[in-house]
This record gives sequence, C-alpha cells and structure tokens, in this order.
Amino acid sequence: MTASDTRLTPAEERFRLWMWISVGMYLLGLPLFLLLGRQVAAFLNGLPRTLIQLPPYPPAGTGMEVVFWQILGVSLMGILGVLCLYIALDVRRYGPMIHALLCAKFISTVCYVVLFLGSFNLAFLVAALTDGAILALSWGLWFLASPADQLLDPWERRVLVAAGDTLFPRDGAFPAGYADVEERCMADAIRFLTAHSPMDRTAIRLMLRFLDLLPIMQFRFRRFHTMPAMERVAFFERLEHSRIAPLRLITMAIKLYIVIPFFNPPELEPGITTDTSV
Amino acid sequence: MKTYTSRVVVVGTGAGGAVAAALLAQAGHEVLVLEQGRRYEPEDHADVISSFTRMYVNGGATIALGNPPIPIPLGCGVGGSTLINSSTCFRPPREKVEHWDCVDWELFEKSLVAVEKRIHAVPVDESLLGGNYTVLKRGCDALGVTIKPLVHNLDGCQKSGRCAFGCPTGAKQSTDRTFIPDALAAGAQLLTEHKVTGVLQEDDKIAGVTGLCPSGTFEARGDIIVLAMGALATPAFLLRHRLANSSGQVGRGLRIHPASRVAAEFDEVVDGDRGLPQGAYIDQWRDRGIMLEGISLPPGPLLSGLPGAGYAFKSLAAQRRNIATFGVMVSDTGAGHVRRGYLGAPFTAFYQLTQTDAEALRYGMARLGELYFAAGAKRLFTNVAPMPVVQSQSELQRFEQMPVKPGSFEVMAFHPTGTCSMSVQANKGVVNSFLRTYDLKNLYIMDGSVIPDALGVNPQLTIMGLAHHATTLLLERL
Repeated sequence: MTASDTRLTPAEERFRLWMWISVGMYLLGLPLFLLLGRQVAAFLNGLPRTLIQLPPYPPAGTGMEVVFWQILGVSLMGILGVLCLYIALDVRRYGPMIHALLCAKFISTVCYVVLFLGSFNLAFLVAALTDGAILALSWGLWFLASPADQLLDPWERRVLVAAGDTLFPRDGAFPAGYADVEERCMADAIRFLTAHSPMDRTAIRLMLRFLDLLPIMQFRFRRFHTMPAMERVAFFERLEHSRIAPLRLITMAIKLYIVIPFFNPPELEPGITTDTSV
Repeated sequence: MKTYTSRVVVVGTGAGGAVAAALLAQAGHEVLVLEQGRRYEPEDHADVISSFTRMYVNGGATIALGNPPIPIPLGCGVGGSTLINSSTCFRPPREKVEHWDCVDWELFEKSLVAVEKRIHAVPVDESLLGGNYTVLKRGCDALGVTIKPLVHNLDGCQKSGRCAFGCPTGAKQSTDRTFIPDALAAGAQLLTEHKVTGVLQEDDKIAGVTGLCPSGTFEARGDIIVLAMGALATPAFLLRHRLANSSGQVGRGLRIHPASRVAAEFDEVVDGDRGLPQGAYIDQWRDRGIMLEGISLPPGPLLSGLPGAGYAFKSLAAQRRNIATFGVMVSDTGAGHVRRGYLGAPFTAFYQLTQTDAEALRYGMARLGELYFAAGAKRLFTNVAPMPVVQSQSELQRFEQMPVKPGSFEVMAFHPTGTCSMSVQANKGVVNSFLRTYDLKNLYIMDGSVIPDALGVNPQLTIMGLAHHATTLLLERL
C-alpha cells in the first residue's frame, strides 16, 4: 500500500480545506480584480485618515498600460486558483505544486515590503500583509501535511540519514554503519516519533531542517546532507560543543533518533556487536 | 456512550491510585479503576523503542520548559510510573514529613510498613548490583566513602538491567503486579485505554468523570472520585476544568529532582547494564541536598548521551561495555509550575533550574569524578557544555572551578511533586491531610502532586504510603 492509498491525516485535511478556501478566494477575487482593480487604491486611500496615517497611494491611471498589467495579474490569479484546485482534489499527488504558490507569494511579499519601506504607501502595506499571511498560512499547513502518514518528509529523511552516517560511518571499530541498517533504523525512528505529540514531532522536523540549512547560514554554501563525510563529522562535533545551548539541544535531540534505533534490537546485530574489549 | 456507576472511581493506576483502589476494594466497596494506558505483561517489554512508545507518556518526550529544557519521564499504562521506575524504595525523611504538619508519623509509618511488605521492599543482595557498583565501590573504598545497596521492590530479579523500560521478567513489584491484582481479586473493575477528559460536576461535589475509550466515549459516575493521574496531569486536569482551585495553588510549586550523570571509561569490562541499574547509593553529601544513585542504561540510551561523531564515536560505542555510569540527583531549591496543556498536550510544565541547583549538580558530579578516577577511570563524560570530557584529576579541578550556568547542563528530572500540595490551611494547599480537596467534598487526590516539597529521595514509597494512610482514614469514615 502506498501513502496515497491510506486515509488523509488530520494535517492533510486541514491543508486541503485551506486549498478549497484559496480556490474560492481566487474565484471571487479574479472578476473583482478585473472589474474593480483600479478602485482598490482609491478605496484604501478613502479609509479614515485618523485610523491610518500613511501617505495615500497614487490612484491607478487609465491608460492601456494599466490594463496590460491588470490582465497579467488576473492571469496569475487564475493559474494559482487552478493550482489550488488540483491540490484540493488530490493532496498527496499534487501537494508539492504548492511550491509554485509559495514562490509567487514569497516574491510578492518581499517586493511589497521593500516598496512599503521605500514609500510608506498604505496599499503596499496592505498587500504585504495579505500576501505575507497567505504565504505563512500556506507554508505552515503544507509543512504539517507534507509527510502524509510517514511523519518525516523525504528531505527530513535525507538529513536524518546523513546524520546517521555522520555518527556511524561504515567500518572503523565495527563494520556496520548506519547505511547498512538504514531501513530498520528509519522504521524505528518513525515508530519512536509516532508516540510523540504533534508539537514534538513538528519540533524534531524543524530541527532536522535547521541542521541541514545551518551550514548555508554560516556561509559554507552547501547543506548538511551534501557535505563531504569528514567535514560533516567536524561540523556535527562543533555543534555538539557549541556555547549556544539551542544548537547543542538540536544535536542532542537528533542523536537520540539515530543512536537509540541503531542499537535498538534486543539482540544486537553481528556487525554492531563487534567489541574490542572481548 | 458507555455509562458506568460505582461507589468509588479511581483515575490512574500508579503508586497512589493502585493502593487506594486495592484498599477500598478489599474493604468491600465497589471500585472502578480507569487507566488511559494498556496493561502489559513482561513479554511485552521487548525492546527500548517499544517501551518508549508504549509505556512512556508522549514517548518519553515530556519536557519542562526552561533553560535548559528538562525531560521528566513519566509512565503510561497499568502501573503508571512504577512500570518504568528504577524500583527504588526510600522511606521519606521523617523530619520532612513532620515539617508538613499534615500526617501523624506513627500512623504513617504503619502504612509504610504495610506497603513495603506488599511490594516486597527489601535491601538488594550485592550479587545483583553488577559492574557499575563494583568499580565505584573500589573508588569509594579508596577514598573512604560509604556506598550502600538500595532497598528495591523486587522478587526474583534476573539482572536484566531494564527496570526503566519495563521489567522483562516480571520481577519488579510495580503496582500492575501487586496492588492492581489485589484490587481485581477483591472485585474492583479495571478499564484500560479509558482516558478521562471531563467531569460531571454537581454543586460542591463531582458526580463522575467522562472521557474517551476505544469504542467512543464513556461516563463513570461515583460517590467518591480519586484522582491519581500524576503530579503533572492531575493539576492540568483540575485547571482545565476549573476545579478545586480556590486557593490558587493548583499547578504551582512544582518540585523535581534535577539529575545528571557521570559516565566513566575504564580499561576493564564493566558491563554496567547487566545488573540492577539503580542498585546502590551514596548519601555522604545529603546535607547539601545531593544524592548519588546508580544508573545504567542499555547501549542506545547510554550512547546517545555521549559526545562525538564518526569513527571516534564508533570506537566509543565499541567500548560501551567498559563504560560505567552513576547518577547525581539534587533536592531542588527552585519551583516550577504546571499549566493546562497547550496545542493538544495533556499538560505544559515550566521549570527553571536555579544556579544553586546547577552548582549542586556540578559538585556531585565532581565527587563522582573523584571516585571514578580513584577506581582507575581513563576519562569522564560529564554532559556539561564547557567541559563534556574530563581526562584527569587536574581537569576535574578545572571542571569544578569553571563558571557554569544552568543552561550549560544536560539535565533530566524525576519525581515531580508539589502541584496539588497538602496543607492544613485551606488557603495554602489544595488537599487536606485526608488528601480530600478543600473545595469538593468527594474529590480526593492521591498521587505525587500532594507531596508539598522535594523529598530528596525517590518518592514511590512515600506516594504509596500517603495513599495507604489516606485511604485507611477514608475507610474509617465510610
């Protein structure tokens, strides 16, 4: 049975509901923007000045150029609406298409924020808050829904496996490495996670993603799971001994989900029991 | 909805609830016992992850928020935390009990004796103590420190070394093997996988509880309701339903025993996990609130707490049989609080480790380090951020002198107490000396939450004794 064959998780149900709401918003917004788009700025400027004291936004012109951009904007809304419809119809199959919407909303939010900071026009603030909220909500709901019933999504699994290889490379003091028992360890890690509350599972997922992106934040220009093995070991050890408590906490938590599954069988596997002291 | 009616409804089967259920049932009262977890047999305790997922609340990830965040492992299943504790039985210090001013020591001692007899609490034989004890005793002998075997509730221990993950041989006399069978034999009814989520309140009393079960929902009505959900879940439940909190004390005063451990690597094989994990203790520094107690773990939990990665970590893992561990536990000087659970959690706990307690932990770790070096240890693993590895006596001195903050420690905590504390004054406590709530005349609380402060010793016996004592007094009035 594949993940798509099983019932949707509550997180997927919530994400699907949001997609249906998005479809509704685009269906409603599309004709309104086409017909009344030019009045938006005028409406915002008409808000009581005592309520919001920001410079007014210049009303849209009436030339053909405005119509050109208006049609382009409406067509983008149409694309996003159809995309949301596809996702709502089959979350597991088309869910990753949400990245297109996230990308569009990220660009628009950043642009609106920059424009607002440059001009303090109310319309840009409203646009930034609207698109920013849609971006945050869509990303949050997708983040919770994306692993479906597997608890970790493919990216997070890759990071966990990379951390496993970091702790237990092949050979050395005993032959078995994480890669040799990856399937069993991953199944045990998932089993372990199953018992945790959704909030704790979310925390672990965020930690895995953070670990993967941390080297980029430190200007190493590659993610944790793509680093060469030796570099990864050194990086992990540095984090483990960091003076910044949350970084230590992250390595400690991730280590739990690797080491406990690795040694979990009541009778340890031959490759793991090799014991130099015996 | 399923509906049950009983004279007494007991919620929880841990150290408090099980004792109350057994005594009430043996006295001929109709008793219904509700437990949110399942009932396990020794053969169910297969592997560490199965134990975490089945027998620990939230898979072992119950954490008090603070810097550092502090995991407080709690049991889930018939037996509650007695299912996964180290089976250590300490009598509470008499001076503490007398300081509470709620319990008559002479009567309480009778309850302690009765409980000890039922759970077979006796000092363990030295043959059960394993390599962890052997190496540390060598250090103790060298430095003139006394190490003593602990009292345990065991019967036929086979040195599986798995007390904290459910005894695989059934030797541990947890409540699922003692008081719960007693209650059932006396006619009590036990409903497992019945999670209590609500209350039926009528004026100044509780008419019953409601909740979720595998077939849907249930309602259990009773004349007397005993809450024994534990020191974190009970106050959260009361807060959620705005019960018994006229004093404003529900959830306040969370006391714990912050604990850490020192691991020591030896040239010889120690095999610390073959033997009783918490077999012995050192109370030489008890006046500082420090207790050193044995701790040994299976390979996974042990190694996940040790530093390193790559081939060096694999080498350490291969040497795991040469690693001895012992724990440091302090009586806390601070206090935390419990809130109703947020974002779907049954409770949310907050606790900030104090500087005093952090330094006490460090002091205890340093003393353990001295003992281990005297016993021939090659290096120590401390779990303290500025100095996670200590290689020599001189480094140990540096370890003891370096500045530390609470956030530098990797700490666990055990034995939460104090969140529904008993008091003779209604405005200072949640329950009276009969463990009856001041606000609701038929609601009793019988778990660790009623203990007003940190005991400084493992509280299993104290909770059982208090429940026994209170139930005995209750029976006189029924």
